[in-house]
Amino acid sequence: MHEQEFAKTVAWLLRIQAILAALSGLGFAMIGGMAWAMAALIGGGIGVFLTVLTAIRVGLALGRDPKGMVRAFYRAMALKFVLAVIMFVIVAQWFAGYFLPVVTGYAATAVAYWLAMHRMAHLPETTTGKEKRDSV
Amino acid sequence: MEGIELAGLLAQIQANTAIAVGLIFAAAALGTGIGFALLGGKFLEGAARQPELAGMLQVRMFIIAGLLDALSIIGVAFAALLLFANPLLGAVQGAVGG
Repeated sequence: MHEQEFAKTVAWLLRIQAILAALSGLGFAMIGGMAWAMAALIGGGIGVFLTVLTAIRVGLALGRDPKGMVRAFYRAMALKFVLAVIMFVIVAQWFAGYFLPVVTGYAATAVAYWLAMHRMAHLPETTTGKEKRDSV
Repeated sequence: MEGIELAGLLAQIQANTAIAVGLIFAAAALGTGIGFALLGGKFLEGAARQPELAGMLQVRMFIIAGLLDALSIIGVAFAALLLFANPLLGAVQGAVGG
């Protein structure tokens, strides 16, 4: 059951991230042309890629005991951080002229997490476990 | 003489940039470290109280961790820019025609 909820949340998150990355690409296309739009899309792509990678690693650990889940979670987050640093160092080293749109594209995908938190706060009670607790 | 002054100015910018990058890394490490420690601790606490909710808590933890990570990654990205393609140095070099 939780696997389904996790898959649904991740699918929603990825959809919103893709939309936000496309919007930032559109914005930069109007400001600085196609090159800046591509850079913003690449930044958004970095965000989406990192979310997919983390979601796969966290999702695979869902059925385990809590200790195993936390271990898998921390490993996934460490991998995400290392990969993000590597990718942004590559951008800063060789594509410094496009740094602003790349970071903005990435930041746009981070906004999706805020929206996901907002969505979580308005979920029906059945998915928060309250109903289950009340019925016991 | 002008060359020495310019070198001094560039050295000053580089030194301040190094301090700024160090502060960014330290703040990012401290923030994510404390945040993830609290997150993992609370998750284990919640899972110990109600083991049947561990999966649901993991979903919530994933969302909050995404936010926690994203902000420090953006900070580290700017630190990488300051380290590898410092725009502050470029402004000085451009002003003196170098």
